[in-house]
This record gives sequence, structure tokens and C-alpha cells, in this order.
Amino acid sequence: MTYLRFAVVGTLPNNLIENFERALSVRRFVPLHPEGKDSETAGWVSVQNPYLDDDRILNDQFLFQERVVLGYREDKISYPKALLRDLVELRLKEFPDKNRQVVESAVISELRQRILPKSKIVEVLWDLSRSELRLFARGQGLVERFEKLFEQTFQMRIKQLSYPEIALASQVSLRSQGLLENLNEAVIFGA
Amino acid sequence: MKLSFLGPEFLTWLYFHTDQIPAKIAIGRRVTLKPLNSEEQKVMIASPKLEDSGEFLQAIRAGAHVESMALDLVIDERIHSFTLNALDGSLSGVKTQGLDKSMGDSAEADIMIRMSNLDEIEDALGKIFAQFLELRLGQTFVSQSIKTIRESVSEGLKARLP
Repeated sequence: MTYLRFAVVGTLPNNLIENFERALSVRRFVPLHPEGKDSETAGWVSVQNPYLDDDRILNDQFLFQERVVLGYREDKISYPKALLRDLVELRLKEFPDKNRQVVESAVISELRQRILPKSKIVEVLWDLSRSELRLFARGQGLVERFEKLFEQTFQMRIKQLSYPEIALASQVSLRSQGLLENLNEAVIFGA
Repeated sequence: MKLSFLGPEFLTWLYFHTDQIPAKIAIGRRVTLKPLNSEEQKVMIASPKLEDSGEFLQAIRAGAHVESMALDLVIDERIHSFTLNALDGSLSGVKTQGLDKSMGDSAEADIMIRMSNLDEIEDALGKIFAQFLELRLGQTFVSQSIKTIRESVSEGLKARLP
């Protein structure tokens, strides 16, 4: 189990259940379409049934007392380069008059029917009473995409709780706050 | 980021002050070190007894700080193991030994159990970091805490001389 902590900055809506259900339905995970062009998709899922793509995410699936529990799902489809190259070459031999880009696009469409996207589900635990959130992942790119989705969905910001953030948010006296803001590295041994 | 040195300083301080903190903590088997603001490569040390590692002391002597460290946190009868990461404040490889999930527990019970175990770890770490911060902002950090680290390193390295 690996996770990052975030502070959630913003005010919760009054009619929280209705508001969150609506927000989640707008940003719910939508799978890649077999005939589409996109190679990536992301959105919210219920942690209990992350692959039931047509179900709405209702409050009994994400709200547990003062805790919101959700899944953040990312799907990505990629085509093995060597396979793509070989199929394109084969097709170009059969139809030498065809443009390479057109052939490649047709081969990709065929492969898309045969290859399943790679799916990643990351659990999100949001403690409403403490305005804190735990994201069970660490990868920088994923974290950035998650931050964006969270802010778009809930209209609230999240701030990663690294040690400088924890220190700045701690209840130190005004004098200490001043000291903290001007603090420099302590040299143990010179490099 | 300003103050980004606080995490590495905290973990380095913690390594040398586990006997002076408000929690029972034992250093685990793996630690990574790196000088602050440097492009130098990380040094990773894995050993069943890190306290006896001369390589660790040499890295500190060369100006490195602890960037991640495996820890065992003991609370009553429970032992929680995890790696604390200085730069992003994350916890990785968390293995909790608190309340256990039983067969037939509801999804809600499972979440509450997990949250309770993680809360316990974070509360303990929060207290330790608060202690570090108070010392760090005090006037005796260099004269006492840094001095302790320097002496521990020097004595440890001397003891390893043939």
C-alpha cells in the first residue's frame, strides 16, 4: 500500500449527496470506444464495481459516514510497434497504391477490436471531517491528472501534504512562522 | 520548492534520534540517501542491521541526507511497517498490523479498519514531525541536534577503523 496525502481546500456544498452524485455522473469513467480514435480515457468509478461502466455512482457506493471512497480509473490502449509495422508492411504489399497513413489508420482500427486497453484503478479516500484525502498512488503524471479531475469534479483544490506544507500549516506561533518562512538548510557535513 | 530540505532533514534527524521521540520506532532494512539540491546519484543501502552500516555513515559524512527510510512503528502490541519518503511525504510499502479485516466484513467496515490503521500511523508521525519542527525552529538545533549527528557519525566511523 503506497499513498500520498492531500489537504482539500474549499467549501463543501450544502446538498452534498445530490451535488456529488451529479458531479460524479458528469466526470464518470467512459470506456474507450472500439471504433473511436482516442487512446486514453480517465474518470471516476465505484471502488466496489470499477468495471461496471454503465452504472451510476450513487451515494451508498461512495459515502461512508464522513468519508468519500472512490476509484480513479485510467485506461490506455497501445499497439505493439513491431506488430503494427509488420501488418502495415504486409498491407502495403497487397495494396501498393494506398497511402501509408491510410493503411496504418486501417490497421490500427482492426487492432483496436482485438487489443484490450490497459486499465489502472487507484483508490481515493477523502475524509470530509478533516478535509484530507489519500490517493493510493505516487506517480507524478498520474497525480497531476488526478488533481485536475478532482478540481473539475468537486470545484475544490487539493494541495499535496509534503513536509514543507505540513510545517507551514502547523500551529506554530507567529514568531516561529516567521522563522519557518526564512529558514535555510542546516549543514551537517559540507558536501 | 522553498523548504524542500525539511523532509530530508527530518528523516536524517530521525535516524539519529529514534531514542528521543514520542513513539517506539525501529529503523527498517532499507534507506536511500542523496545530497540536497544535487544531481548526484542516490545511494541505496539495504542491510538487516542498518545501524551497523559504515556505508550509511560515510554517505552522511559526504554531505548526503536521508531521502527515504524503512521504519517499524510499534504501538502497543501492533507493528506497522512502511517506508517514509522525504520529498513528497508519501508512505510506501505500508503493512499494517492493527485491526484486521474478517471474512464477511462489509465494504464500509473494511474502509474504516484501513483508515483507522493509517490514522494511527499518521498521528504518530505527526507528533514526531512536530517535535522535529519545534527543535528545528529553536536556537539549539545546530548546537545540540546537529552536534549529536556529527558525533554519532564520527564515532561510528572511528569504531570501524581497523
